Amino acid sequence: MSEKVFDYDVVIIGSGAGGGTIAKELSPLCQKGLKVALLEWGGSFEKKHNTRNEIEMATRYYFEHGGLQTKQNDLTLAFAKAVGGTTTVYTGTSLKASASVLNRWAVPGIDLDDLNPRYEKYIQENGVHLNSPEEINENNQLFYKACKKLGYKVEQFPVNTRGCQGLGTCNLGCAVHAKQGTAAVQIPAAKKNGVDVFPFCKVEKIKDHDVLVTVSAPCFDQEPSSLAPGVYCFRASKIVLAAGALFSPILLEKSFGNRKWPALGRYFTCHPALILTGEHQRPITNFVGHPKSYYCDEFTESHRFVLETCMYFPFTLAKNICGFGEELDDLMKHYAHLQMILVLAIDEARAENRVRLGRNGMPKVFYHFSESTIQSFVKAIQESARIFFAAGVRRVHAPAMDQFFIFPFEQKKIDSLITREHFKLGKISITAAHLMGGCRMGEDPRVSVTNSWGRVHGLNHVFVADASLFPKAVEINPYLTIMALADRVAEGIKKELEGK
Amino acid sequence: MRVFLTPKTLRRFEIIQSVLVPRFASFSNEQILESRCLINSILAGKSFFIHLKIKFFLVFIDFVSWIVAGNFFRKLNHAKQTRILNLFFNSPIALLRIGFWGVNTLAKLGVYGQVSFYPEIGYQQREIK
Repeated sequence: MSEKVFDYDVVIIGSGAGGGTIAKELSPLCQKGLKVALLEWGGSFEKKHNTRNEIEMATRYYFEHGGLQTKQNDLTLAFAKAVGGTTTVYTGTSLKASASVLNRWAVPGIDLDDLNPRYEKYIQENGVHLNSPEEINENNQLFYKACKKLGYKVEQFPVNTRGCQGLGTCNLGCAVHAKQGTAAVQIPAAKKNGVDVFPFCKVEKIKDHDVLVTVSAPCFDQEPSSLAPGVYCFRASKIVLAAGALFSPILLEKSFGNRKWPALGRYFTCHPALILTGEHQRPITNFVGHPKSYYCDEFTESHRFVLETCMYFPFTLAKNICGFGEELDDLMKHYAHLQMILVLAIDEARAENRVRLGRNGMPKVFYHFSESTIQSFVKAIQESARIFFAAGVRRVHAPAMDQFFIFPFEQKKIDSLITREHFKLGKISITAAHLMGGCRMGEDPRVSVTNSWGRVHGLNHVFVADASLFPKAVEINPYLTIMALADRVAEGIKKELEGK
Repeated sequence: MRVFLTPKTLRRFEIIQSVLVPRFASFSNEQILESRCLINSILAGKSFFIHLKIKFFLVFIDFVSWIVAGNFFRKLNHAKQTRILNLFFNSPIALLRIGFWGVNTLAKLGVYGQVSFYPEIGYQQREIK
């Protein structure tokens, strides 16, 4: 081997909610003389790098501009490449998994008794709070009032922002760094305690205890890695994979083959999502202010979907509008009048939905929509239309219809206008940003990849600490649960290292 | 860098684009250039195979125009052009819907991806304090 070799006690791959948390939790060990490295494929974003230009920032932050297509080409996936991972581009909504979700997961040791103290730690650390009423814009207020009017259960999202200026561009990375993701909180703390952070460091393969990487130069004026571009080897006694639900499984596949773990890459879930719009007679405050203040979980148990407030940028919205022509332009012309709802379907964990290593070394995602997910979408679109009308819109655009708009006089016909028959995959833009599973936890190596402490079955020194651990969908925005599980993985590793 | 909108493709694509996003038809020269630039830059990193697939789909739209309406897409009137595109949009064949979705998304990108277009739709970003 000709590459330069660095020796570490722990090497963490990926710096998102999982990797950043692990780095911070293990960092006190650096003061006892242990060496910890955090490797990240992307670079660090400073405030000056954020132009708030939709296309430019999507290109800088996301893989495939935020639209990686599945093999079936009827679903696109959004995930970021940056120090801080996808926590740089989320909205900071901070929810705990419910007891019923953890019961469904059925992983021994993973319950609210175990996770609650961990959740609380990050709720404190990340400054999670409820925005005050004056910080909530009309787009959100209208949703809340309409849900109440219809008697639907509606809750306010706790968020983790500090000094939010309501720019409304959370998904393009915050231009004032108000979101308290791992790049803002955990990674600086880890660095301060002595963790070495290496940006632009792409992990190619794990070979026993060696992590083989390629360091590249930044694409624009981001701070370069402390290592010159080239090929390196990080040798570690423990390796933690926190590269996300697409890259952690394929790194394991690339490094150890896919025969060891029948469940590797399988049981992938992603909360597939749709954007719906209702147009008001007058402009409302929608694109300024925090975009996501409320959610409605009235239908979580009965129909397996959640409705959230949202506001997207012009192209993202246009892309999600189902149709073309004069009606599209007319709706876009009223951008400032639009109220938006995001539908998140709670998809089942099915073995055939999986991530595999593609020929180009990138993940290839095989995802088939089940009939129950499609039924969830249809019901969610119908309910969203009712919410829009209850909010007083003058027309609703929803997919799964054979007309572009529904008008108030057609309200009574919602269920016959929005139907399963009109819901055609490939016609409707469906996206997902909550990528989960692929290295699911469990006791049985035939149907899981890691144990409940994140250790990969049969590999004593390799751990996973990201959303790929989830055995099934978490049914809410996942980052806080990723952090709680990463905290648990860190606890296990710490015990072993301290006992050494 | 691989350029998607070569002169031949450009002609075919922009006729379709102006039906998909009619506002494109009244774009200034500057906006047309920006549209091309956005589409080319998004597709620059894509493989030759992806470029080929999209180009083939554009040709296929012309082929279907011939079969259904007896002429090239560009020579049809607006109503017929819309009818042809609706055949793809609503097709019972998923592959055709998916191909159409890709072309439609590129057409929208060229228009609604332009920052200079924001004021026209009333999108004005808040100043940073």
